[in-house]
Amino acid sequence: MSAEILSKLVNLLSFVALGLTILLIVRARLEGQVRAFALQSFVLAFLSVLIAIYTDSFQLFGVGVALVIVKVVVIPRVLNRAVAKIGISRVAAPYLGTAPALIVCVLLAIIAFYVMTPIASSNPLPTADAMPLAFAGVLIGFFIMVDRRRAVTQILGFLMLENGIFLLALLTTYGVPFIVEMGVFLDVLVAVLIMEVFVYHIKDNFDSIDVGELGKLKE
Amino acid sequence: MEIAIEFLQLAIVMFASPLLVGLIRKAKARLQARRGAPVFQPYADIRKLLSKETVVSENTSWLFRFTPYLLATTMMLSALIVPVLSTRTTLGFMGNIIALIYLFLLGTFFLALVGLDAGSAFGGMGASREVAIAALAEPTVLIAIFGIALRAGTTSLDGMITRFAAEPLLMLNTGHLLAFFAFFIVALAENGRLPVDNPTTHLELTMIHEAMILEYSGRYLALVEWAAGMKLFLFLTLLSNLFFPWGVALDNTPVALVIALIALAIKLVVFVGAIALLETSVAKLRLFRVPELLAGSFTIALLAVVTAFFLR
Repeated sequence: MSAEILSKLVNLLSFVALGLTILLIVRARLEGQVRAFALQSFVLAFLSVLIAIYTDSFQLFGVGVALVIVKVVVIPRVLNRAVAKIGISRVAAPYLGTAPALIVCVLLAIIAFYVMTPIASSNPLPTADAMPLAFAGVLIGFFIMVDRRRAVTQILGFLMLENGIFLLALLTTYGVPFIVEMGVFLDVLVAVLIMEVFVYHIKDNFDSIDVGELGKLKE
Repeated sequence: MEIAIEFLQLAIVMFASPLLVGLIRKAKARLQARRGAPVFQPYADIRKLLSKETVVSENTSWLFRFTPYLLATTMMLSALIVPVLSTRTTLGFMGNIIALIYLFLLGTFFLALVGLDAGSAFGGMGASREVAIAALAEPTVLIAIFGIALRAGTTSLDGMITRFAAEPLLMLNTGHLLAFFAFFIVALAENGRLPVDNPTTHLELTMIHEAMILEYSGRYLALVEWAAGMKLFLFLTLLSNLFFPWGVALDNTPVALVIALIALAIKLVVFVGAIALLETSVAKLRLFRVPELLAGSFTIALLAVVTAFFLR
């Protein structure tokens, strides 16, 4: 596989990942959003396996496999369980409507391109071209976290943000060492589990998982 | 020779467009487990309408009689500009892609006027919806065009196809694919296809294009339907030749032209399949959700432009 084809493929797959982040805004149903996250994680796993083949790196291959196990299988399952258990109405309840949110996403993507392109052009790796896309994914993940009222969908924003950071590391330096990556995956998994418990408690105390309610005083 | 090719292209667009419409209907029918009308039904419809009496409301002005001719003429003019088979066209110099899009829009504009002309409630409703959708689709069309024009370095259709045909890794280029998706969604909206408008319905609450042409009958209706078919044909040809430029004749040898014709037929059949599949699997969007779809397409188009600037 030549460097040019790899570079094009990485661009394309990074774009698919970014598109799936944006899809999170468009999809109304929570199951659809969880599926978008699982699909994005799968794309990232595919990407890391691709780069592993290009660089003959066994560690990166392991990272890809672990990614599939943690983010494509386990975390979506945990999230689906939370959605089923809380039985919330299936809307994400964002502050902004779909169309303005999409425009904000594009603006964030433009900012990411503007900031990251000089950095990417100083990086000699063939994968570096797609760095602005990964950074745009990080920014949009942030935006989704801020924009959402419901706690479960905020978790999804956090996961997308984490995926963006993983992709950025992958593109900049062919990924961080295996052991560090494992630590991060474990952290994310634990974070999701803890947040799930938090969500249950919020639901118990406030009878809703609208985080806007948390600002009000209760007797 | 080149003029002969122009007329060949015009003839293809004029006489194959009812077949395209018939093919889409047939494919949809088969997918929905119906037998469906034969693929040549649209020809029979047009012939029947041409021989029928034309009834014109006495409240209408000259616009009503003028518009069907205008629609057919703009579509035939567009057929001379779009590189259907060959990029070496005599009239290719006189219109670039921006002129082409506004030729299409001229037809939309007059159709909306006609919707208002007869003074019926449905016509007015259809016209207002059509104009709303056109106004939302317009920025997307232009930005998607800029996305590919920036990459090609020209707005001339012939130049773009020549440039893209020379690019080996075209299908892995993200900006190109993004522009394609944005343009495809807009093409569906402009042609009144399913997620935006249902071409088979005459239900009062949902129709858009059908509501505007409700007053037409006889040969005027035949012209309007035929022009709509030509518009669909031209949009799909534009999509297939601009974004998948394989097989388009770059010089005017007979062999290249035959190959171009076969390639065009294959690409159009693929598009027919895709549209039939899409129209079978999605429901029509509520009118108030159409802006969301078009905002999505706008986002894709804008990203295409951004990548054209930043990604090599």
